[in-house]
Amino acid sequence: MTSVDQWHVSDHELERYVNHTVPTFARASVEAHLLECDRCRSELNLLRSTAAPDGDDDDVWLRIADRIDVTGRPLRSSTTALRVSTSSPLLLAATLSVAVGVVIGVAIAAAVAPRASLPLFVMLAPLAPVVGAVLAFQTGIDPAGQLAMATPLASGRLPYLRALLSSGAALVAVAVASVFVPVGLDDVAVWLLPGLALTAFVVAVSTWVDPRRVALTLACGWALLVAMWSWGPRRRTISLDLSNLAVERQSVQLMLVAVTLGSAAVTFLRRHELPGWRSR
Amino acid sequence: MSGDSVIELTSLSKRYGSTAAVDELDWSGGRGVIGLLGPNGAGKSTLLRMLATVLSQDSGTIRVFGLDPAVAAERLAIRRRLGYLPQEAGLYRNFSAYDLVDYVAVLKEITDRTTRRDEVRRVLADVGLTDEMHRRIRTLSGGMQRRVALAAALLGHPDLLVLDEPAAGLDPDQRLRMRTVLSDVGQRATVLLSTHQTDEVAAFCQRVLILDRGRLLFDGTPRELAGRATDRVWISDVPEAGALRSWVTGDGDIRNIGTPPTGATVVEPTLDDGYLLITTEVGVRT
Repeated sequence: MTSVDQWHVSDHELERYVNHTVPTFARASVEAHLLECDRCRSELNLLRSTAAPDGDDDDVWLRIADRIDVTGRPLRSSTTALRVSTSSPLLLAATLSVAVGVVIGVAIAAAVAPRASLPLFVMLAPLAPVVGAVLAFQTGIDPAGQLAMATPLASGRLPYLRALLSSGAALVAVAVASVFVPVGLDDVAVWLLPGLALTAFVVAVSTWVDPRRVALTLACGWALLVAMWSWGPRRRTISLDLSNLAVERQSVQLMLVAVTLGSAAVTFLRRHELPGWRSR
Repeated sequence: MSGDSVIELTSLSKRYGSTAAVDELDWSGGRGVIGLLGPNGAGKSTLLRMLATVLSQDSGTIRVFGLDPAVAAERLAIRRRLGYLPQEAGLYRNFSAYDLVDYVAVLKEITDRTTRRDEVRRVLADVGLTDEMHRRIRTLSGGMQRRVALAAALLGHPDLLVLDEPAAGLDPDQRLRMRTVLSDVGQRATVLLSTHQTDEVAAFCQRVLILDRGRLLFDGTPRELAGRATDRVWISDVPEAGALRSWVTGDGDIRNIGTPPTGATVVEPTLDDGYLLITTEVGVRT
Protein backbone atom coordinates (compact mmCIF):
# COMPACT_ATOMS: atom_id res chain seq x y z
CA MET A 1 0.00 0.00 0.00
CA THR A 2 1.56 3.30 -1.09
CA SER A 3 -0.03 5.39 1.62
CA VAL A 4 1.48 3.15 4.30
CA ASP A 5 4.96 3.60 2.85
CA GLN A 6 4.65 7.36 2.75
CA TRP A 7 3.79 8.29 6.32
CA HIS A 8 4.02 6.87 9.81
CA VAL A 9 2.20 7.46 13.03
CA SER A 10 4.14 9.85 15.28
CA ASP A 11 5.19 8.77 18.78
CA HIS A 12 2.85 11.37 20.16
CA GLU A 13 -0.08 9.94 18.20
CA LEU A 14 0.87 6.41 19.25
CA GLU A 15 0.81 7.42 22.88
CA ARG A 16 -2.53 9.10 22.40
CA TYR A 17 -3.86 5.98 20.68
CA VAL A 18 -2.79 3.86 23.64
CA ASN A 19 -4.21 6.34 26.12
CA HIS A 20 -7.53 6.51 24.26
CA THR A 21 -7.12 10.23 23.69
CA VAL A 22 -7.10 10.09 19.88
CA PRO A 23 -10.33 11.59 18.47
CA THR A 24 -12.63 8.90 17.08
CA PHE A 25 -12.12 9.91 13.46
CA ALA A 26 -8.34 9.73 13.77
CA ARG A 27 -8.45 6.52 15.76
CA ALA A 28 -9.74 4.55 12.79
CA SER A 29 -6.96 5.79 10.58
CA VAL A 30 -4.22 5.18 13.20
CA GLU A 31 -5.64 1.69 13.73
CA ALA A 32 -5.81 0.95 10.02
CA HIS A 33 -2.22 2.09 9.64
CA LEU A 34 -1.00 0.04 12.61
CA LEU A 35 -2.55 -3.07 11.13
CA GLU A 36 -0.65 -2.49 7.90
CA CYS A 37 2.65 -1.11 9.08
CA ASP A 38 5.30 -3.22 10.81
CA ARG A 39 7.45 -0.17 11.46
CA CYS A 40 4.80 1.58 13.53
CA ARG A 41 4.03 -1.58 15.42
CA SER A 42 7.68 -1.89 16.37
CA GLU A 43 7.64 1.78 17.38
CA LEU A 44 5.03 0.77 19.91
CA ASN A 45 7.45 -1.82 21.27
CA LEU A 46 10.32 0.67 21.34
CA LEU A 47 8.34 2.99 23.59
CA ARG A 48 8.55 0.31 26.24
CA SER A 49 12.29 -0.30 26.12
CA THR A 50 13.05 3.37 26.74
CA ALA A 51 10.78 3.31 29.78
CA ALA A 52 12.52 0.39 31.46
CA PRO A 53 16.23 0.80 32.11
CA ASP A 54 17.68 -2.46 33.43
CA GLY A 55 21.29 -1.56 34.03
CA ASP A 56 24.07 -3.82 35.28
CA ASP A 57 24.48 -1.65 38.39
CA ASP A 58 20.91 -2.41 39.37
CA ASP A 59 21.57 -6.09 39.01
CA VAL A 60 24.63 -5.97 41.29
CA TRP A 61 22.65 -4.19 43.99
CA LEU A 62 19.81 -6.67 43.67
CA ARG A 63 22.16 -9.58 44.07
CA ILE A 64 23.63 -8.00 47.20
CA ALA A 65 20.13 -7.34 48.54
CA ASP A 66 19.25 -10.94 47.81
CA ARG A 67 22.26 -12.21 49.81
CA ILE A 68 21.25 -10.11 52.80
CA ASP A 69 17.68 -11.29 52.42
CA VAL A 70 18.59 -14.96 52.51
CA THR A 71 20.37 -14.68 55.85
CA GLY A 72 17.41 -12.81 57.27
CA ARG A 73 14.88 -15.41 56.26
CA PRO A 74 15.33 -18.88 57.72
CA LEU A 75 12.22 -20.09 55.88
CA ARG A 76 13.87 -19.39 52.53
CA SER A 77 16.49 -22.05 53.24
CA SER A 78 14.00 -24.74 54.19
CA THR A 79 13.40 -27.52 51.74
CA THR A 80 11.36 -27.00 48.65
CA ALA A 81 8.93 -29.71 49.68
CA LEU A 82 8.15 -28.06 52.98
CA ARG A 83 7.76 -24.63 51.40
CA VAL A 84 5.36 -25.90 48.81
CA SER A 85 3.32 -27.88 51.28
CA THR A 86 3.11 -25.11 53.86
CA SER A 87 2.32 -22.45 51.32
CA SER A 88 -1.40 -22.45 52.00
CA PRO A 89 -1.98 -20.47 55.20
CA LEU A 90 -5.64 -21.51 55.17
CA LEU A 91 -4.77 -25.18 55.04
CA LEU A 92 -2.30 -24.81 57.88
CA ALA A 93 -4.88 -22.94 59.94
CA ALA A 94 -7.55 -25.56 59.21
CA THR A 95 -5.22 -28.44 60.08
CA LEU A 96 -4.09 -26.78 63.29
CA SER A 97 -7.76 -26.18 64.21
CA VAL A 98 -8.52 -29.87 63.75
CA ALA A 99 -5.47 -30.84 65.80
CA VAL A 100 -6.16 -28.37 68.60
CA GLY A 101 -9.85 -29.40 68.53
CA VAL A 102 -8.92 -33.03 69.13
CA VAL A 103 -6.61 -32.17 72.05
CA ILE A 104 -9.13 -29.84 73.70
CA GLY A 105 -12.08 -32.21 73.08
CA VAL A 106 -10.30 -35.18 74.63
CA ALA A 107 -8.97 -33.09 77.53
CA ILE A 108 -12.47 -31.82 78.35
CA ALA A 109 -13.93 -35.33 78.06
CA ALA A 110 -11.22 -36.65 80.42
CA ALA A 111 -12.05 -33.95 82.97
CA VAL A 112 -15.86 -34.12 82.75
CA ALA A 113 -16.49 -37.82 82.09
CA PRO A 114 -13.32 -39.81 82.65
CA ARG A 115 -14.88 -43.13 81.67
CA ALA A 116 -16.08 -41.79 78.33
CA SER A 117 -12.74 -40.26 77.48
CA LEU A 118 -11.14 -43.46 76.17
CA PRO A 119 -13.99 -44.41 73.78
CA LEU A 120 -14.14 -40.80 72.60
CA PHE A 121 -10.40 -40.76 72.03
CA VAL A 122 -10.38 -44.00 70.09
CA MET A 123 -13.32 -42.72 68.08
CA LEU A 124 -11.75 -39.36 67.18
CA ALA A 125 -8.03 -40.07 67.05
CA PRO A 126 -7.93 -42.02 63.76
CA LEU A 127 -10.29 -39.50 62.14
CA ALA A 128 -8.11 -36.44 62.77
CA PRO A 129 -5.49 -37.35 60.12
CA VAL A 130 -8.32 -38.26 57.73
CA VAL A 131 -9.76 -34.76 58.07
CA GLY A 132 -6.28 -33.30 57.58
CA ALA A 133 -5.80 -35.29 54.36
CA VAL A 134 -9.24 -34.40 53.00
CA LEU A 135 -8.61 -30.69 53.63
CA ALA A 136 -5.36 -30.91 51.67
CA PHE A 137 -7.23 -31.99 48.55
CA GLN A 138 -9.59 -29.03 48.53
CA THR A 139 -8.35 -26.48 46.01
CA GLY A 140 -10.64 -23.83 47.48
CA ILE A 141 -8.63 -23.83 50.69
CA ASP A 142 -5.62 -22.43 48.84
CA PRO A 143 -5.88 -18.70 47.97
CA ALA A 144 -3.44 -19.20 45.11
CA GLY A 145 -5.03 -22.51 44.13
CA GLN A 146 -6.10 -21.23 40.72
CA LEU A 147 -2.55 -20.19 39.96
CA ALA A 148 -1.14 -23.50 41.17
CA MET A 149 -3.66 -25.79 39.49
CA ALA A 150 -2.26 -25.53 35.99
CA THR A 151 1.32 -26.36 37.04
CA PRO A 152 2.99 -29.78 36.70
CA LEU A 153 3.43 -30.23 40.44
CA ALA A 154 -0.29 -29.70 40.99
CA SER A 155 -0.76 -32.82 38.86
CA GLY A 156 0.82 -34.86 41.61
CA ARG A 157 3.22 -33.94 44.33
CA LEU A 158 1.67 -30.74 45.69
CA PRO A 159 -1.62 -32.13 47.05
CA TYR A 160 0.12 -35.26 48.38
CA LEU A 161 2.79 -33.23 50.15
CA ARG A 162 0.08 -31.14 51.72
CA ALA A 163 -1.91 -34.24 52.71
CA LEU A 164 1.22 -35.66 54.32
CA LEU A 165 1.85 -32.46 56.22
CA SER A 166 -1.70 -31.87 57.42
CA SER A 167 -2.39 -35.48 58.40
CA GLY A 168 1.05 -35.63 60.06
CA ALA A 169 0.22 -32.52 62.10
CA ALA A 170 -3.09 -34.10 63.12
CA LEU A 171 -1.30 -37.29 64.23
CA VAL A 172 1.13 -35.29 66.37
CA ALA A 173 -1.84 -33.54 67.99
CA VAL A 174 -3.50 -36.88 68.69
CA ALA A 175 -0.29 -38.17 70.30
CA VAL A 176 -0.34 -35.08 72.55
CA ALA A 177 -4.03 -35.65 73.36
CA SER A 178 -3.32 -39.27 74.35
CA VAL A 179 -1.69 -37.91 77.52
CA PHE A 180 -5.18 -37.17 78.87
CA VAL A 181 -6.57 -40.68 78.43
CA PRO A 182 -5.65 -44.08 79.90
CA VAL A 183 -3.93 -45.27 76.77
CA GLY A 184 -0.33 -46.24 77.07
CA LEU A 185 2.47 -46.32 74.55
CA ASP A 186 1.85 -50.03 74.09
CA ASP A 187 -1.68 -49.26 72.97
CA VAL A 188 -0.55 -46.91 70.24
CA ALA A 189 -1.66 -49.44 67.61
CA VAL A 190 -5.26 -48.98 68.78
CA TRP A 191 -5.51 -45.54 67.24
CA LEU A 192 -2.44 -45.19 65.06
CA LEU A 193 -2.99 -48.20 62.81
CA PRO A 194 -6.68 -47.43 62.09
CA GLY A 195 -5.72 -43.79 61.60
CA LEU A 196 -3.03 -44.63 59.05
CA ALA A 197 -5.23 -47.17 57.26
CA LEU A 198 -8.23 -44.82 57.03
CA THR A 199 -6.08 -41.90 55.86
CA ALA A 200 -4.19 -43.94 53.29
CA PHE A 201 -7.45 -45.39 52.00
CA VAL A 202 -9.08 -41.96 51.65
CA VAL A 203 -6.02 -40.59 49.82
CA ALA A 204 -6.07 -43.56 47.44
CA VAL A 205 -9.79 -43.07 46.80
CA SER A 206 -9.18 -39.40 46.02
CA THR A 207 -7.46 -40.45 42.78
CA TRP A 208 -10.92 -41.52 41.55
CA VAL A 209 -13.47 -39.28 43.25
CA ASP A 210 -13.75 -36.32 45.59
CA PRO A 211 -12.63 -37.87 48.91
CA ARG A 212 -15.05 -35.92 51.12
CA ARG A 213 -18.00 -38.28 50.81
CA VAL A 214 -15.84 -41.39 51.21
CA ALA A 215 -14.16 -39.87 54.26
CA LEU A 216 -17.51 -39.02 55.81
CA THR A 217 -18.83 -42.55 55.23
CA LEU A 218 -15.69 -44.11 56.71
CA ALA A 219 -15.77 -41.74 59.68
CA CYS A 220 -19.39 -42.62 60.45
CA GLY A 221 -18.60 -46.32 60.09
CA TRP A 222 -15.61 -46.10 62.41
CA ALA A 223 -17.52 -44.07 65.00
CA LEU A 224 -20.36 -46.60 64.93
CA LEU A 225 -17.93 -49.48 65.32
CA VAL A 226 -16.26 -47.91 68.35
CA ALA A 227 -19.67 -47.01 69.81
CA MET A 228 -20.79 -50.61 69.40
CA TRP A 229 -17.69 -51.89 71.18
CA SER A 230 -18.14 -49.37 73.96
CA TRP A 231 -21.90 -49.27 74.44
CA GLY A 232 -22.73 -52.81 73.38
CA PRO A 233 -26.02 -54.27 74.73
CA ARG A 234 -24.22 -56.55 77.19
CA ARG A 235 -22.14 -53.78 78.70
CA ARG A 236 -24.68 -51.24 79.95
CA THR A 237 -21.81 -49.05 80.99
CA ILE A 238 -19.48 -46.97 78.92
CA SER A 239 -16.23 -48.82 78.72
CA LEU A 240 -13.82 -49.96 76.11
CA ASP A 241 -11.71 -53.04 76.31
CA LEU A 242 -8.64 -52.17 74.31
CA SER A 243 -7.74 -55.81 73.92
CA ASN A 244 -10.92 -56.22 71.91
CA LEU A 245 -9.67 -53.79 69.38
CA ALA A 246 -6.35 -54.40 67.84
CA VAL A 247 -3.62 -54.79 70.39
CA GLU A 248 -3.82 -58.52 70.83
CA ARG A 249 -5.35 -59.32 67.51
CA GLN A 250 -2.51 -59.67 65.12
CA SER A 251 -4.81 -60.51 62.25
CA VAL A 252 -6.56 -57.14 62.63
CA GLN A 253 -3.23 -55.35 62.83
CA LEU A 254 -1.93 -57.14 59.78
CA MET A 255 -5.08 -56.25 57.89
CA LEU A 256 -4.71 -52.57 58.80
CA VAL A 257 -1.06 -52.58 57.74
CA ALA A 258 -2.04 -54.25 54.48
CA VAL A 259 -4.73 -51.62 53.82
CA THR A 260 -2.22 -48.85 54.51
CA LEU A 261 0.48 -50.28 52.24
CA GLY A 262 -2.00 -51.28 49.54
CA SER A 263 -3.57 -47.81 49.51
CA ALA A 264 -0.13 -46.19 49.39
CA ALA A 265 0.78 -48.35 46.38
CA VAL A 266 -2.48 -47.47 44.60
CA THR A 267 -1.90 -43.77 45.33
CA PHE A 268 1.62 -43.96 43.92
CA LEU A 269 0.48 -45.66 40.74
CA ARG A 270 -2.41 -43.24 40.22
CA ARG A 271 -0.69 -40.14 41.60
CA HIS A 272 -1.36 -38.02 38.51
CA GLU A 273 -5.10 -38.73 38.36
CA LEU A 274 -6.58 -36.57 41.16
CA PRO A 275 -9.91 -35.47 39.68
CA GLY A 276 -10.41 -33.14 42.63
CA TRP A 277 -7.62 -30.96 41.25
CA ARG A 278 -9.57 -30.39 38.10
CA SER A 279 -13.00 -28.81 38.29
CA ARG A 280 -15.94 -30.60 36.74
CA MET B 1 -0.62 -18.35 11.13
CA SER B 2 1.57 -21.39 11.52
CA GLY B 3 0.40 -24.56 9.84
CA ASP B 4 1.01 -26.64 12.96
CA SER B 5 -1.99 -26.43 15.25
CA VAL B 6 -1.15 -26.06 18.91
CA ILE B 7 -4.79 -26.13 19.93
CA GLU B 8 -7.51 -28.21 18.30
CA LEU B 9 -11.07 -28.15 19.55
CA THR B 10 -13.80 -30.39 18.17
CA SER B 11 -17.47 -29.98 19.11
CA LEU B 12 -16.34 -28.71 22.49
CA SER B 13 -19.20 -28.09 24.93
CA LYS B 14 -19.49 -27.12 28.55
CA ARG B 15 -22.77 -26.43 30.31
CA TYR B 16 -23.61 -24.95 33.68
CA GLY B 17 -27.13 -26.16 34.41
CA SER B 18 -29.25 -25.15 31.43
CA THR B 19 -26.76 -22.52 30.25
CA ALA B 20 -24.25 -23.46 27.58
CA ALA B 21 -20.97 -21.72 28.47
CA VAL B 22 -19.24 -23.24 25.44
CA ASP B 23 -21.46 -24.62 22.71
CA GLU B 24 -20.23 -27.13 20.09
CA LEU B 25 -17.05 -25.19 19.43
CA ASP B 26 -14.75 -26.21 16.59
CA TRP B 27 -11.51 -24.32 16.30
CA SER B 28 -7.79 -24.74 15.82
CA GLY B 29 -4.91 -22.34 16.24
CA GLY B 30 -1.15 -22.18 16.11
CA ARG B 31 1.65 -19.81 16.99
CA GLY B 32 1.11 -16.10 17.53
CA VAL B 33 -0.95 -13.82 19.71
CA ILE B 34 -4.65 -14.59 19.56
CA GLY B 35 -7.18 -12.24 21.14
CA LEU B 36 -10.47 -13.54 22.47
CA LEU B 37 -13.20 -10.91 22.55
CA GLY B 38 -16.74 -11.24 23.78
CA PRO B 39 -19.27 -9.77 26.18
CA ASN B 40 -19.35 -10.79 29.85
CA GLY B 41 -20.69 -14.32 30.20
CA ALA B 42 -19.75 -15.21 26.62
CA GLY B 43 -17.84 -18.28 27.81
CA LYS B 44 -14.33 -16.86 27.40
CA SER B 45 -13.11 -17.85 30.88
CA THR B 46 -14.69 -21.29 30.62
CA LEU B 47 -12.93 -21.90 27.31
CA LEU B 48 -9.59 -20.65 28.67
CA ARG B 49 -9.91 -22.78 31.83
CA MET B 50 -10.51 -25.87 29.72
CA LEU B 51 -7.45 -25.06 27.61
CA ALA B 52 -5.45 -24.50 30.79
CA THR B 53 -6.32 -28.09 31.82
CA VAL B 54 -8.06 -27.00 35.03
CA LEU B 55 -11.63 -27.61 33.87
CA SER B 56 -13.00 -30.68 32.13
CA GLN B 57 -15.42 -30.47 29.23
CA ASP B 58 -18.87 -32.09 29.07
CA SER B 59 -18.44 -33.28 25.51
CA GLY B 60 -16.18 -32.84 22.50
CA THR B 61 -12.42 -33.07 22.37
CA ILE B 62 -9.52 -30.81 23.27
CA ARG B 63 -6.02 -31.36 21.92
CA VAL B 64 -3.18 -29.17 23.10
CA PHE B 65 0.16 -29.95 21.41
CA GLY B 66 -1.74 -32.99 20.12
CA LEU B 67 -2.25 -34.18 23.71
CA ASP B 68 -5.51 -34.87 25.52
CA PRO B 69 -5.86 -33.04 28.86
CA ALA B 70 -8.40 -35.65 30.02
CA VAL B 71 -5.59 -38.26 30.18
CA ALA B 72 -3.51 -37.79 33.33
CA ALA B 73 -0.07 -38.36 31.80
CA GLU B 74 -0.86 -36.15 28.80
CA ARG B 75 -2.28 -33.45 31.08
CA LEU B 76 1.01 -33.41 32.95
CA ALA B 77 2.89 -33.12 29.66
CA ILE B 78 0.69 -30.16 28.66
CA ARG B 79 1.17 -28.46 32.02
CA ARG B 80 4.95 -28.67 31.56
CA ARG B 81 4.62 -26.42 28.51
CA LEU B 82 1.82 -24.16 29.76
CA GLY B 83 1.56 -20.77 31.43
CA TYR B 84 -1.84 -19.80 32.82
CA LEU B 85 -3.12 -16.55 34.25
CA PRO B 86 -6.56 -17.09 35.80
CA GLN B 87 -9.14 -14.31 35.84
CA GLU B 88 -9.16 -14.33 39.63
CA ALA B 89 -5.59 -15.13 40.52
CA GLY B 90 -5.50 -15.28 44.31
CA LEU B 91 -2.09 -14.64 45.85
CA TYR B 92 -0.55 -15.18 49.28
CA ARG B 93 -0.74 -11.69 50.69
CA ASN B 94 2.13 -12.12 53.11
CA PHE B 95 4.56 -13.40 50.51
CA SER B 96 6.83 -10.96 48.71
CA ALA B 97 6.36 -10.70 44.95
CA TYR B 98 9.66 -12.57 44.53
CA ASP B 99 8.65 -15.38 46.90
CA LEU B 100 5.28 -15.83 45.23
CA VAL B 101 6.79 -16.16 41.77
CA ASP B 102 9.54 -18.35 43.20
CA TYR B 103 6.85 -20.59 44.70
CA VAL B 104 5.14 -20.98 41.32
CA ALA B 105 8.57 -21.67 39.79
CA VAL B 106 8.92 -24.56 42.23
CA LEU B 107 5.50 -25.81 41.19
CA LYS B 108 6.70 -25.56 37.60
CA GLU B 109 9.56 -27.92 38.42
CA ILE B 110 12.33 -25.35 38.08
CA THR B 111 14.34 -27.08 40.78
CA ASP B 112 17.85 -25.69 40.30
CA ARG B 113 18.19 -22.72 42.65
CA THR B 114 20.38 -20.57 40.42
CA THR B 115 18.26 -21.20 37.36
CA ARG B 116 15.14 -20.48 39.37
CA ARG B 117 16.48 -17.24 40.76
CA ASP B 118 17.49 -15.99 37.32
CA GLU B 119 14.16 -17.04 35.85
CA VAL B 120 12.13 -15.36 38.62
CA ARG B 121 14.18 -12.18 38.13
CA ARG B 122 13.67 -12.33 34.38
CA VAL B 123 9.87 -12.58 34.51
CA LEU B 124 9.59 -9.94 37.23
CA ALA B 125 11.68 -7.62 35.06
CA ASP B 126 9.48 -8.47 32.08
CA VAL B 127 6.42 -7.20 33.92
CA GLY B 128 8.30 -4.20 35.33
CA LEU B 129 8.40 -5.26 38.98
CA THR B 130 12.15 -5.38 39.54
CA ASP B 131 12.03 -2.52 42.01
CA GLU B 132 9.06 -3.93 43.90
CA MET B 133 10.07 -7.58 43.97
CA HIS B 134 10.78 -7.68 47.69
CA ARG B 135 7.62 -5.89 48.73
CA ARG B 136 4.85 -7.95 50.28
CA ILE B 137 1.92 -8.67 47.99
CA ARG B 138 -0.55 -6.96 50.32
CA THR B 139 1.32 -3.66 49.96
CA LEU B 140 1.16 -3.77 46.14
CA SER B 141 -1.57 -2.07 44.10
CA GLY B 142 -4.15 -4.14 42.22
CA GLY B 143 -2.32 -3.61 38.94
CA MET B 144 0.98 -4.70 40.47
CA GLN B 145 -0.61 -7.82 41.94
CA ARG B 146 -1.98 -8.63 38.51
CA ARG B 147 1.53 -8.28 37.10
CA VAL B 148 2.90 -10.64 39.75
CA ALA B 149 0.42 -13.27 38.57
CA LEU B 150 1.34 -12.53 34.95
CA ALA B 151 5.02 -12.96 35.81
CA ALA B 152 4.20 -16.37 37.30
CA ALA B 153 2.48 -17.35 34.04
CA LEU B 154 5.57 -16.35 32.02
CA LEU B 155 7.90 -18.64 33.99
CA GLY B 156 9.80 -21.31 32.09
CA HIS B 157 9.19 -20.00 28.55
CA PRO B 158 5.87 -21.79 28.04
CA ASP B 159 4.86 -22.86 24.53
CA LEU B 160 1.26 -21.97 25.30
CA LEU B 161 0.24 -18.95 27.34
CA VAL B 162 -3.42 -18.83 28.38
CA LEU B 163 -4.20 -15.42 29.85
CA ASP B 164 -7.60 -14.47 31.18
CA GLU B 165 -7.86 -10.69 30.95
CA PRO B 166 -4.17 -9.96 31.49
CA ALA B 167 -4.68 -6.22 30.97
CA ALA B 168 -7.35 -5.85 33.67
CA GLY B 169 -6.29 -3.23 36.18
CA LEU B 170 -3.16 -2.19 34.27
CA ASP B 171 -2.50 1.45 33.41
CA PRO B 172 -1.64 2.38 29.80
CA ASP B 173 2.11 2.24 30.44
CA GLN B 174 1.89 -1.20 31.96
CA ARG B 175 -0.37 -2.40 29.18
CA LEU B 176 2.15 -1.24 26.63
CA ARG B 177 4.88 -3.17 28.44
CA MET B 178 2.67 -6.24 28.62
CA ARG B 179 1.94 -6.08 24.91
CA THR B 180 5.63 -5.90 24.11
CA VAL B 181 6.43 -8.89 26.29
CA LEU B 182 3.56 -10.94 24.92
CA SER B 183 4.41 -9.99 21.33
CA ASP B 184 7.92 -11.33 21.94
CA VAL B 185 6.51 -14.53 23.38
CA GLY B 186 4.10 -14.77 20.45
CA GLN B 187 7.05 -14.96 18.05
CA ARG B 188 7.79 -18.51 19.18
CA ALA B 189 4.75 -19.59 21.18
CA THR B 190 0.97 -19.44 21.23
CA VAL B 191 -0.53 -16.68 23.34
CA LEU B 192 -4.28 -16.87 23.81
CA LEU B 193 -5.72 -13.99 25.80
CA SER B 194 -9.16 -12.69 26.59
CA THR B 195 -9.76 -8.98 26.65
CA HIS B 196 -12.45 -6.34 26.53
CA GLN B 197 -10.17 -3.87 24.78
CA THR B 198 -10.25 -3.79 21.02
CA ASP B 199 -7.13 -1.61 20.97
CA GLU B 200 -5.36 -4.50 22.68
CA VAL B 201 -6.30 -6.61 19.69
CA ALA B 202 -5.28 -3.93 17.21
CA ALA B 203 -1.89 -3.39 18.77
CA PHE B 204 -0.52 -6.89 18.87
CA CYS B 205 -2.92 -9.74 18.09
CA GLN B 206 -2.41 -11.57 14.80
CA ARG B 207 -5.78 -13.25 15.11
CA VAL B 208 -8.99 -12.38 16.86
CA LEU B 209 -11.90 -14.54 17.95
CA ILE B 210 -15.30 -13.30 19.07
CA LEU B 211 -17.21 -15.56 21.39
CA ASP B 212 -20.81 -14.97 22.37
CA ARG B 213 -23.00 -17.35 24.36
CA GLY B 214 -20.45 -20.10 23.85
CA ARG B 215 -20.41 -19.83 20.08
CA LEU B 216 -17.70 -18.53 17.81
CA LEU B 217 -19.00 -15.50 15.90
CA PHE B 218 -15.79 -14.43 14.24
CA ASP B 219 -12.34 -15.83 13.55
CA GLY B 220 -9.94 -13.76 11.51
CA THR B 221 -7.32 -11.03 11.52
CA PRO B 222 -7.98 -7.70 13.25
CA ARG B 223 -8.08 -6.08 9.83
CA GLU B 224 -10.79 -8.48 8.71
CA LEU B 225 -12.75 -7.65 11.88
CA ALA B 226 -12.65 -3.92 11.15
CA GLY B 227 -13.40 -4.76 7.51
CA ARG B 228 -16.67 -6.39 8.51
CA ALA B 229 -18.02 -2.91 9.21
CA THR B 230 -16.84 -1.40 5.92
CA ASP B 231 -19.65 0.80 4.53
CA ARG B 232 -21.70 0.04 7.65
CA VAL B 233 -20.58 3.00 9.80
CA TRP B 234 -21.73 6.56 9.37
CA ILE B 235 -21.78 9.84 11.21
CA SER B 236 -24.93 11.90 11.76
CA ASP B 237 -26.08 14.88 13.78
CA VAL B 238 -29.08 13.12 15.34
CA PRO B 239 -29.59 9.46 16.35
CA GLU B 240 -30.69 7.37 13.37
CA ALA B 241 -33.80 5.24 13.83
CA GLY B 242 -32.59 2.65 11.32
CA ALA B 243 -29.20 2.07 12.97
CA LEU B 244 -28.40 -1.13 14.86
CA ARG B 245 -26.43 0.89 17.39
CA SER B 246 -25.84 4.62 17.79
CA TRP B 247 -23.66 6.44 20.27
CA VAL B 248 -22.25 9.88 20.86
CA THR B 249 -18.52 10.10 20.21
CA GLY B 250 -16.05 12.26 22.07
CA ASP B 251 -16.25 14.75 19.20
CA GLY B 252 -19.98 15.25 19.80
CA ASP B 253 -21.01 13.41 16.61
CA ILE B 254 -23.44 10.53 16.53
CA ARG B 255 -21.75 7.38 15.25
CA ASN B 256 -24.06 4.73 13.82
CA ILE B 257 -23.58 1.14 12.73
CA GLY B 258 -25.99 -0.81 10.57
CA THR B 259 -27.21 -0.12 7.06
CA PRO B 260 -26.59 3.57 6.30
CA PRO B 261 -29.33 5.58 4.61
CA THR B 262 -28.70 7.07 1.17
CA GLY B 263 -26.41 10.06 1.28
CA ALA B 264 -25.08 9.28 4.76
CA THR B 265 -21.51 10.25 5.66
CA VAL B 266 -19.93 6.79 5.67
CA VAL B 267 -16.64 6.64 7.62
CA GLU B 268 -13.75 4.24 7.95
CA PRO B 269 -14.61 1.50 10.46
CA THR B 270 -12.64 0.72 13.62
CA LEU B 271 -12.28 -2.62 15.36
CA ASP B 272 -14.88 -1.43 17.86
CA ASP B 273 -17.32 -0.94 14.99
CA GLY B 274 -16.63 -4.42 13.61
CA TYR B 275 -17.01 -5.98 17.05
CA LEU B 276 -20.21 -4.10 17.87
CA LEU B 277 -21.71 -4.88 14.48
CA ILE B 278 -21.07 -8.62 14.78
CA THR B 279 -22.30 -8.95 18.36
CA THR B 280 -25.32 -6.69 17.81
CA GLU B 281 -26.39 -8.47 14.64
CA VAL B 282 -26.34 -11.79 16.47
CA GLY B 283 -28.31 -10.26 19.36
CA VAL B 284 -30.95 -9.01 16.92
CA ARG B 285 -31.22 -12.39 15.18
CA THR B 286 -31.74 -14.41 18.38
